[in-house]
Amino acid sequence: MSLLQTTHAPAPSIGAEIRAAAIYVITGTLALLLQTTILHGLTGGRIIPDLVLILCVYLGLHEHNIGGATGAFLLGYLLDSFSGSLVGLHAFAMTIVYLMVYLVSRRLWMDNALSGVAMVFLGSLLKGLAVVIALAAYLSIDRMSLGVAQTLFAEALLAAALTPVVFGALGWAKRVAGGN
Amino acid sequence: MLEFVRRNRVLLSSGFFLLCSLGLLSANARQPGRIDPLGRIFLEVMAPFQRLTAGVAGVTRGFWNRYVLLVGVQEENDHLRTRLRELERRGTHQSEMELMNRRLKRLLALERELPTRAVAASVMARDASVWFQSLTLNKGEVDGIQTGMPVMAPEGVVGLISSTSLHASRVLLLTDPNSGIDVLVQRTRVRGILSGLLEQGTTLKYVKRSDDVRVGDRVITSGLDGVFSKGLPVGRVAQVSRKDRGLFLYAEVTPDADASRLEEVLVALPSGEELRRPAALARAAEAGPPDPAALGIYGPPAPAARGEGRGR
Repeated sequence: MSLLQTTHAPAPSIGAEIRAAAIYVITGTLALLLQTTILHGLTGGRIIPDLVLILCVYLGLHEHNIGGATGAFLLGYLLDSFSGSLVGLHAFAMTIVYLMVYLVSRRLWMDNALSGVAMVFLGSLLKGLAVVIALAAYLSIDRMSLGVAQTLFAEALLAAALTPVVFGALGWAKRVAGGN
Repeated sequence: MLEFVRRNRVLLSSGFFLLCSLGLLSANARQPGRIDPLGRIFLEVMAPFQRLTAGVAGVTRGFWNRYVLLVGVQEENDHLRTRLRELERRGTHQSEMELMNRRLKRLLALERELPTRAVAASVMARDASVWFQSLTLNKGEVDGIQTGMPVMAPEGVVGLISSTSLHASRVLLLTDPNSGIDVLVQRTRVRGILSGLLEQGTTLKYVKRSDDVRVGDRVITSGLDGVFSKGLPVGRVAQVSRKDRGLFLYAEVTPDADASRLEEVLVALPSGEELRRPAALARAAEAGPPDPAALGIYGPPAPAARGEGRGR
């Protein structure tokens, strides 16, 4: 079973962890800025590339510690501050995505670009589903059409397409900062 | 025990954060926008970055539109479009005033015409998700803006202020699934609640199947929600369907104010608000009297045309 993960990376030093955390904070801020300004304008708000979700999946793949879970929650909370009025919705969805990616990456070998793309695609679908279900539960939305599923799918495809760029940039930043 | 916790620290911490999120969700579903310990800080910290990014994007877009894409034509097109919207808005308002006169509601109309101050604000950023509809404005509490204040554009109603920080605020658009505005169908005076859809657009809720609502009917605010004045333009009925079953009909409404194109909006202050806020009063005094055409939504159209909306 070549897919089974059999090795574990050595624990990074505290300095490296702090540098990695700084990179995640800067990337998260940049991702949200792009999502709320330039990217929104480019797509007219119909489909917005979810860069924050890609960062969350990256955390699930590479940060198997309390910091990773905290980061996913805070990324979701950050999204909640700039999206909708139901605080906790994205925090909930992002934590679920992180947990799913973490559980999968513990059992399968995920150290290649294609698996990252697949995880972002699945993660995006999962996040969308979690948001829609929570909305239906908390806001009693009674009318959901095929358009919702189409938007979910299109958003997942777009996020998956952008994954190599975001993962590449994160990997480069961590190498430059010596955080990996 | 410690070994178990150490080995399952990710699962345990994720479970903890899931519980936290659900707690926040439940609390905020009951009282929207009230329990948000970090949101205010995030909004304030991100505001300067968003302002900078929006500024750079605006300059680039402006250069592209005016000099590269269409030299001259773009400006004329903008002018004509603005003029058309202004005339449409005045026409709607005039119709509403005439109906009020017929129903002998002059006193109420006169009361509505009392001057009210408004704060003009620029849109800095838009919603970070496709599921919700909100805007971030470049004015906040120091300018007198508070949660719950109505937000309008020259075309019509935009939404409500949902949260504020010192120098920024967020608007929950009427197209958001969490919004609800009391409205009237202008032609037949049928009342309903306008709420956003998960997809784009809005729907008119709680209208009886037997009520007379047709495609193209104009929808205006009813004034009964205590937030918006009566008679403000909201949108037009775009689709009506009456199924075999159910008490209510289904009607989609296309909002007059296209939030995706909004750049500047007006936040209406309650009467006397500026008196309680020295900073806002000082700014208002510096800025001079409010623009009558922009604030005309509170009263009848100004007799003198303000260059028909040019240079706004």
